[in-house]
Amino acid sequence: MQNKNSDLYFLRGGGKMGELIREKDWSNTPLGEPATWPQSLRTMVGVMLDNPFGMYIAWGSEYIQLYNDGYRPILGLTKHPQALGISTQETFSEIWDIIGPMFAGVMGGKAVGFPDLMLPLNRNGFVEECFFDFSYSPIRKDNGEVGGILVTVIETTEKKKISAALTESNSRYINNILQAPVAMCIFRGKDHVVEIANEHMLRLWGKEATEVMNKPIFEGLPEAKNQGLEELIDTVFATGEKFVANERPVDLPRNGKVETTYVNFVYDALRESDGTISGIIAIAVEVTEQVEAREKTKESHELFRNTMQQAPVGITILRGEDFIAEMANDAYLHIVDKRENNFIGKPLFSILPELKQQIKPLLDKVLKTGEPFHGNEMLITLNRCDKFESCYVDTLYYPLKDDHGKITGVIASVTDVSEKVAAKKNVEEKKRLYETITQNTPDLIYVFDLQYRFTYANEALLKMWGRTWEESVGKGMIENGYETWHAEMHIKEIDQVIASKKAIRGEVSFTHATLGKRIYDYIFSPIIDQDGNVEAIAGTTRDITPLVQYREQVEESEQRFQAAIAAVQGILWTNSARGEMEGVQEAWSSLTGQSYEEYCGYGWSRALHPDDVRPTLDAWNDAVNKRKMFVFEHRVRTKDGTYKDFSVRAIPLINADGTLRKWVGVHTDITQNNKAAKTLKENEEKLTVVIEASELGTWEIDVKTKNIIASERYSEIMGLTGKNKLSLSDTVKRIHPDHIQLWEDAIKNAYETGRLFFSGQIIWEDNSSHWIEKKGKVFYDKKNNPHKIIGTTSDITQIKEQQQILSESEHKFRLLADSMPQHIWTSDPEGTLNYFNQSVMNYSGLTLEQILREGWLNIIHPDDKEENIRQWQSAIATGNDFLVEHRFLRYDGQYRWQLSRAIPQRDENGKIQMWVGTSTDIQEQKIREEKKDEFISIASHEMKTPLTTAKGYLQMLEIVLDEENEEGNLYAKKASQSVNRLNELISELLDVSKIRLGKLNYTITNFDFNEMIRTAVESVQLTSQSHTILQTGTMNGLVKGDADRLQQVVINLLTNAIKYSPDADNVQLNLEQQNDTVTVSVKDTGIGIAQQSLNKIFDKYYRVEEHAVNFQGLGVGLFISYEIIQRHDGKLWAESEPGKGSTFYFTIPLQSKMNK
Amino acid sequence: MQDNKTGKCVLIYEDDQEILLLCKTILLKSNYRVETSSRCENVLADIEVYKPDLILMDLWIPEIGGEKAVNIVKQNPTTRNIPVLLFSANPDIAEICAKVNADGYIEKPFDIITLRNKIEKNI
Repeated sequence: MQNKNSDLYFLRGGGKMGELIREKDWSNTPLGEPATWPQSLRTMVGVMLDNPFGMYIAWGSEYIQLYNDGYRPILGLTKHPQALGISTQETFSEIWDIIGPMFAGVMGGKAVGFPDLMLPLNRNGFVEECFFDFSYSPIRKDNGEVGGILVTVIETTEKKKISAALTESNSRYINNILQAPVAMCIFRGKDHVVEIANEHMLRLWGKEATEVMNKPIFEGLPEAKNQGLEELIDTVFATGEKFVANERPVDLPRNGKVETTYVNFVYDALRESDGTISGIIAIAVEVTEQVEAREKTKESHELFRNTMQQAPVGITILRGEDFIAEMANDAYLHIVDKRENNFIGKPLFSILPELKQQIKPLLDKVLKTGEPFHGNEMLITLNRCDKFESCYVDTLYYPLKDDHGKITGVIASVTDVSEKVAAKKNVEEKKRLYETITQNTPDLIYVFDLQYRFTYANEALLKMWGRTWEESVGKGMIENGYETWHAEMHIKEIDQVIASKKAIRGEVSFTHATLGKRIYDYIFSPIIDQDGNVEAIAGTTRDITPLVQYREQVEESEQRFQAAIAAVQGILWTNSARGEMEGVQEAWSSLTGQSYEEYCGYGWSRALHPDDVRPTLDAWNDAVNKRKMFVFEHRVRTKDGTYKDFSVRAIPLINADGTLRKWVGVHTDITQNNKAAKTLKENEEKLTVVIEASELGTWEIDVKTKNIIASERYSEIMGLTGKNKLSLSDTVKRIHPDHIQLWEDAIKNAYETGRLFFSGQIIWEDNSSHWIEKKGKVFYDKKNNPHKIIGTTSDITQIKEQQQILSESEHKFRLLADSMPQHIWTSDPEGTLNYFNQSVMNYSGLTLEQILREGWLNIIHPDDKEENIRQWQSAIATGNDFLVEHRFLRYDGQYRWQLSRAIPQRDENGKIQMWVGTSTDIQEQKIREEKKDEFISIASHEMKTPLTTAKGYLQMLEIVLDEENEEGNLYAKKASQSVNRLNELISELLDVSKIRLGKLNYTITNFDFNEMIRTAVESVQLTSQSHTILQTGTMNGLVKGDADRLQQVVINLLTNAIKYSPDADNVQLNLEQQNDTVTVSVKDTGIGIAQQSLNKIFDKYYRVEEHAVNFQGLGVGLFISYEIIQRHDGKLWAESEPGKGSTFYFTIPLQSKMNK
Repeated sequence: MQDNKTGKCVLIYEDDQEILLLCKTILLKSNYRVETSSRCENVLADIEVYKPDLILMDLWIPEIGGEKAVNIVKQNPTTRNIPVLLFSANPDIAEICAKVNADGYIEKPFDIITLRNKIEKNI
């Protein structure tokens, strides 16, 4: 298999992807065995595999994918390598609706391109924004048909960043131009001589190679002249800025004629290694057909739209599942009573929510099934003019399909047939209506004949009477229980209706059979026969008792309102409906001292400040005429003759019949408020003055006379105080000789752009130097000549000094950092390293540019990289110090151990500004440590040999000693204990060196935790006569972990507790099980540990110093315990108070994740 | 101390003469026949000569080391059924024991009772 494909010439190259393609079993893919591939595919695959640029082929109708190494990162981690050999649609299902149609277009023979597309890629261990130019072009088979699509990707990221890399890229570029699937060419020099142009480009130009090659382009292609292209290309050549044109019309020769074509093209500068621009590369795609096709579509669209607009039937086009209204004609908009700009572009049911329930299911069905829907005389309810109206419509919902037959929307045509239906239904409905309405309404409905007898009475009426139909109909009012006055009143009214042939309305109160006393509103209407005579009288009566009650409530509430007004602070008064003051106005009198005679009518206005009388009366009359609220402010002369500021509010009180009853007004004293406002204004003015004084000098230059009118502050800043008349030359004289040129440029620039900006140094007469900044605007006279520059000047000396200090301190830092033997580096808050000192360069043998470009991770040992990245990301995320040991690659290829530490630098708010890191070479230290640990390991083993013998013989001795020989037995026992202790110490030493080397082994089982604790307690208790170990708590079930190691921890804690509480007689061990953890605590009442020592006790060889003399041991027990608990994913900690004792705790999960 | 283990042979490989002597003393007192060697490369020949019922093998022993010697015993069909106990101060003894298919191990320094029990159990 492998051999078979390896032999194929077109699969030979291609690095990693070449390997994958060769190894793939193609027989299961639609492409089949590579040996059977069509020639054009073979060629393209060959070219692709050898190509350093990202290239990607989608072949055949299923778009089977092949791609090269350069393209792989663009697929990212989720799509590669599965994408190879499967369909594009499968790989890019999530965006297939975008690229699918695009691919179809390319398969139709049209190339497309996307310049500078941004893709976030993770290629160096972090995500970066990368830019690519994508182009999609058809690959033609021998017979001219398009067999597939070639996607070429040109990364533009580097181009944006580093011009240096361009040299290399340029030369590759050129080599690829001729093979490029899009039109490409290179223009050299300022005359844009055509250096290389590929076939596609020549075809685009409509020229033979001989006509254009090695000639300035506009000489070889004169047709392209005077279309603005000269300027464009000159600009690109001069500035180096890329120019991208989209569908630009260009006149070009076509079949002997000059025709307008549409072209997408890119002009990009070609740079030499020194950055100078030597030429231009042009990439172009002709899109004339697409543009024309679109224009045609647009035309036909217009035509359709016009036709539709004029149709007498309402038509709207609805797109998508939300039925977005794409267009709607006037007839449709008329039916739904909407304006076009409120309707188009919105989901139909957001505009016509009242139709959603009824119509949406119908439209959904059309969209889903594609079957048209016909609705005849559908009753729909529409919100027209803010009222819900029912109408009848004939509708047709017809599916709209795109080129692929997919249903994309619905065209709805609607005809309002309400009138037709209404006419049809009128007759039958009238019949029903009478019955239905009269029977079901709570209103009383009845008909009198001309003899005042009831000929009809509805249910409600019969119920009110408490009588049946038979009892009532055909009888008069008296017989039906009406009181005489009531019957007489109605008889009179009936007579009136018969005479006038007009309806009459009245209100009456009488007693209901079950509801008691009610109030009724009634109408008697004449029923006119064909001859125009009154034939009968129809009556309707409505119970309006609740309505009347409501009316009464309103009146009551108004009275409450009146009372509320009286309680309001301020001067209350009432005026008549005409706006005149009348009656007793106690509050007004006591304010103004006016008597009734003085204030009545419009007399109150005489108590106003003379200046306020006219405006007040004008506003008052206006309010009275319009019956609107009166709001005003004026001064009122008070009793003591002083004027005070008042705000006035008055409201009209309207009677139930809508007539104006009176005005109620309140005067509120606002003298205080006004004062506050005035103070505020004064303060503001003061503030402006202060700002002006402290900040900006303002000035105005007369361009002709060069005179300057300037503020005091300006003179101060410029050191020109005391001068009466200033001219421009005074200012210029002050400017530092080094900055005169800057100033002249600024002035020149100001005349060109209208804006003046100058920042520079000035020298005062006393030789002191200052920095200033001038900003100004040029004003022009009528002839458009500059005649004035107005602007401001500020003193930026302090800012400049700060900048100076900053850059000096930066300089100092670099100087210092570079002279340090340690590696020093900095990073931004996001973790991107941005500075390395000289030491890093010396060590690695790389340049700063190399480190910054290729990434510092490259010098880290591959085995340390992952941990390094993890720790660094964690430090960046948490803001905790970064501390890691790892190996760096030295210039000579040797990896050496480094201890790296980085500390965040924070601003005053605690926000991280940057990270400063150091890396120290600890290679020697590391080796020494390793040697020492190795030594300990061997030494402890050797020591155990004589120990074994000693222990053995001691036991033998105990056996042979006579039981009576108590003294001998005691000595042997003591010697045994010492030997055991020595053995423990040696084991501890060995453990420590193993921890350092990471070789401490764990045997993981599921074990009985209670049992483990019990034996630990027992064994410690055996060796201690002084202390009793008190155990509380138990736990259920098994724990996963190393039973022996955990027992070692418990024993260590217990022996420590005993050791450090010499005066106590007990230690307490407590066992507690939480949900999925178990906690063990060991408490003593001994000497305790000082707070500052608490976090050090888990260090290697640490012992509480002041007691070191009194207590023996290496002090490594807790270090080992800490390590063991940590390996069990647990936590070991202590709480202590000196003199009172300590409690040590450890918690481990019942099911630790540890394996070994 | 007369019982059914009388006359059974324990072959001890140990290069430290003191330990060798100690073990020999203990086991002789338990009425085992004890044979010893300070080198282990001739383990198959030693078995041929002494026909041991159990082997006690030190790990750090010349010339080839106990680990290899046990492998030789355990891979030879005629000797593989002889119980072998490892005998060392090496803290990883349990793992090594499992690796070379030894029948058990005794940690140095050992307890006399443990030594006796383990041998009795495996012999």
